[in-house]
Amino acid sequence: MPGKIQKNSILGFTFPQSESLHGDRLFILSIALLCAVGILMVYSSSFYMAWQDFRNPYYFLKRHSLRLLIGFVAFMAAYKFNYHHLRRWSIIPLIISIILLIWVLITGSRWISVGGITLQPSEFARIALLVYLADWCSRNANKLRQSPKGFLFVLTLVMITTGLVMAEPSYSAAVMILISGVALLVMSGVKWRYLIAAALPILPVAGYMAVAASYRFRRVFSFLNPLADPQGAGYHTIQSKIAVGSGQIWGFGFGMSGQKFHFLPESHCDFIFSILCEERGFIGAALVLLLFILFFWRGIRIAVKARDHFGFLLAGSLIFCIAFFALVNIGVALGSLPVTGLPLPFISYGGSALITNLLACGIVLNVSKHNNSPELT
Amino acid sequence: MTARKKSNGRKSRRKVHKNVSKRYVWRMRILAFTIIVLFFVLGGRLFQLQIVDGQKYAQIARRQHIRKVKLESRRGSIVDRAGQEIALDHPQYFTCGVRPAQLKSAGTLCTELAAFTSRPASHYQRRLQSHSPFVYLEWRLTASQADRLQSLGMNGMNLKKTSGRFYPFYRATSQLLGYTDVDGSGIAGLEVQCDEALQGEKGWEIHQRDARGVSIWDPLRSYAQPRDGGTVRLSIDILSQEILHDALIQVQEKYQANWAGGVLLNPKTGEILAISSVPDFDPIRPEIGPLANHKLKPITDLFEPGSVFKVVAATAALEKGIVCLDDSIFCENGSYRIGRKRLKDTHEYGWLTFEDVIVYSSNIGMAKVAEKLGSKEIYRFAARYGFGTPTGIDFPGENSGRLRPYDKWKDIDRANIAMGQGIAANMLQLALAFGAIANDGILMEPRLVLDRTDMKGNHRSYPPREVRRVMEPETARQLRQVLIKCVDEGTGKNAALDGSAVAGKTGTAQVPDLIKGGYYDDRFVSSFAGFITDGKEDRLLVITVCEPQEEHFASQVAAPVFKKVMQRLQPADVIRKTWKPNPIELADVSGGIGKMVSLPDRNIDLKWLRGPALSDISELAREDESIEQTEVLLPDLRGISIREATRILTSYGITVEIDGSGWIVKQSFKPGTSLIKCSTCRLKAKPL
Repeated sequence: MPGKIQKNSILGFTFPQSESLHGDRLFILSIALLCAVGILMVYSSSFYMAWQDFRNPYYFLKRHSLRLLIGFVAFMAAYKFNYHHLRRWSIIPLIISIILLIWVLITGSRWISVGGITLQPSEFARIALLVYLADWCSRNANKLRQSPKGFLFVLTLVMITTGLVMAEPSYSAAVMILISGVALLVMSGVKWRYLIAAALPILPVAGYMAVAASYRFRRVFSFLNPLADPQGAGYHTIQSKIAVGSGQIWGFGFGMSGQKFHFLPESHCDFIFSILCEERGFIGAALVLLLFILFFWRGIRIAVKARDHFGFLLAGSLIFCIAFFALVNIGVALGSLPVTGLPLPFISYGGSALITNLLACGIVLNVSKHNNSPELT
Repeated sequence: MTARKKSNGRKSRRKVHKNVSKRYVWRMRILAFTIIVLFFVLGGRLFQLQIVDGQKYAQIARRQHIRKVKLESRRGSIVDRAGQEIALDHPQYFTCGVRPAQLKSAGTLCTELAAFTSRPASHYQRRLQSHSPFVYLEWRLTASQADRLQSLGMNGMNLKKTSGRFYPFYRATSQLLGYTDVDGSGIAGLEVQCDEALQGEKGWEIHQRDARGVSIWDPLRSYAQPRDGGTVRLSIDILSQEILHDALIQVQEKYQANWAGGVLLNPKTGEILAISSVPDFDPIRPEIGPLANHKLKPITDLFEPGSVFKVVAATAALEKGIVCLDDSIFCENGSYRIGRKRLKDTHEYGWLTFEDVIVYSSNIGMAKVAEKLGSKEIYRFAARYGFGTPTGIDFPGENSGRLRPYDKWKDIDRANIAMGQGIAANMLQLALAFGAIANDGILMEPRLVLDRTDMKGNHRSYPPREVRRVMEPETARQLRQVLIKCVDEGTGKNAALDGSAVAGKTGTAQVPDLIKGGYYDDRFVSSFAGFITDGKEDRLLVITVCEPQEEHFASQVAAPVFKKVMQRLQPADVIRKTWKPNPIELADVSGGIGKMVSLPDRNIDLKWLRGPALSDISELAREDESIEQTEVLLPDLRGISIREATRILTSYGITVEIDGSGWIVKQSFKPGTSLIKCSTCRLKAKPL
């Protein structure tokens, strides 16, 4: 843990000292482009609904822009703030997040409204958990590897958070937290057999779910044969595939999507990628996919180049988490995964996720910045 | 490498961290590699959906995004000879639909509607029990009725302004014009006869739609303009029509007659100026009231004409030179035997000249002339006058009458037919026959449509057409003389007009008993056929009153109607000269029926006529019809002869298409189908 890092710092906020002190430029570029695509797509996919419901085609665009602004502030703050300071306080956001999760569990609503903006505690819990675990794992690297105790501690924390989110109920978000936690454990060097041992009890649980709650099971796997129930369980999958497929090579052009006219519900949130495919065609959609790959590749590169274990785990787990979101969302849009309610990072309309993702990117960039900084003493 | 570093891992914390991270970088690389592979898998999937199957999905998308929207066209107008619109499409009606689930006080609504339409409230109650979420309760509600319903402030009720057929002259033209169905296709009367010309062509527009069915702008929009229907100009003079209709209403009410009908035509051209019968019906709600009222009886109904038919035998006798007008005939003092039957005259006559036989309408005198003449000649002249064959008028459901072949006539039949019993004709045939007398012996083809323009702008006019010469001009002149004397001195005195010489003939016929055979003693049809030939205005009018009560002699019942109509027509001529057709402005339409028509202005003109006010639309609209609604259903025609089936169907105004011959084995509409639904019925027949 570095003692004094920067000469010019006020309350932990540091200011760039030299040209060399900046984040990965391609990483920044990919985020900026994805956010720009997001602005366009949110407007294109929401103006009809906004006009119908609020008589204002810019309703969702305005709100999206406001969140983007907040997200940018969070991003800058995380970027400027030396990430090593996070270690000192990392437990506090986690505790607050868990309290909030319990709070929403009691009140029964998934949202907390702060000054007119609704926040989803599960989003923040995800970041807080990863930050804390990155800190803990880097601090107790040996303990983690030598005995199952450390592993069990981490697993318990992950399971508590996952369980709380699942109880909201928000299954898909819970699964994402679990997967991100597992990815972090893998990266931190936990023995494989621990992981396998922990995974074993999941099998009977999954089997039980398949039998006891077969209707839910069927619903989840309806994406494999959406035509079996085209107006019910398969509806989203079918409509999403129609949107994607009808785009063909070049797409219909900006604003020309027909599926957003209520054929594809939540077209500005969970199915924004389908609308993108419809309007921009294969070329546009493939470019966005490449942007995500660029983002992911640069993010992993930052993690690999991190100067310490904490930075490595922090950047790695956050990047993985965002990549999982992108994969699952796009997989759903293409009819390859069960329908979930997960937003597409940077592009979907959805306040909390956008803000937390930008916050996470700020942190990753912070790690990147310090990779480039001169050797610390 | 990792094992060595692990051994000195605790030297400095930073170094340890660094080494630890490096040691597990490979794990991260595997994870990262997996993720990137997954991204490329998604890229492949994208390729499959968009490039490989793209066409298929694009087609599905197009199917669900695009909708063809129909653009309504306006049905053409029917105008009278001066160009006055008498049937037109007007966006003035309201359709009342409800969502039964949301409707709270259904009972109130039903009683309100029942008050407007004379349907029973239970009719609406039954409709409300439908399981569909939206039910149409009533159409063609007027603006004031719609206002009334709106003021009830009901949830779940929807009033939609719709275009509908509008008949400014309401009942006066109801049977002539007929009516249309909800879709604007002609169902009866001229509406169906001229359907081809009146029908417009619907246009369409391609719209993009959302999943809830709302149409949205579409950059791909393509469309076809709707085409409005053409115009049909009738020979009808609407003023005369109203005058005639009004007179018929009065006579029917006065004598409580079964029905009364009249035909006014121009004998020189065959143009029908007015044609009407009562009781009539409400063209806005044709489904209310008996279906028999829909028939334009002067064309669709037969009756035995009685003494008016004597002119046929008289023509034959004069043409053949069998008798002259001055020849005397002994009328047997009122009683004469033919075979086992006995003929009677109303007055007992001795010797009468042939002229007086007609003037005083002696049956015995006529029978004796017929004896001399022979059946064949009477038949020939009846046929030449056009009896027994369709007149060829442009109107659906003409009944061509009955004239049996002369070789089947017995002696008594010959005598009866000479005096107009035992044959059946429609009023139009009678009118045209008299027209031949007025027109120097030439029978004209009747005309109802002067010209028509269809939606493509094709114009077609129908000039006057002669059918044939029935008699020599000299004979016609002689007959006119006799008929003038008929009115001056004989049975037609009540039809005499001041200042014009009227030629006419009365006829009082007994009604045949179709069940037992023979004739009823107490049921009569009294007719008057007459014309004015003063050179200025040629008019021929036939009035028939069927089964009048109390009085039955044509001289008392029918002749005064003739006089009244003719009297009122004379000042109407003056009005007509200064009259311009009144275009019915679409912009005028705001109020109910009573408010919008230009009729009130017209009635000011018509006050000159000093008759009772002409049919005031708002008055009639309020008139209470207590006739219960009888839905007439298509009968089972199977097993009956083609002729009988045709007669039944044409009497309902249904066009018949026949396949085969003999007896009916199949009908295109099932028995029990509402007659409103079938305009053409296809029948299949087989010989037994």
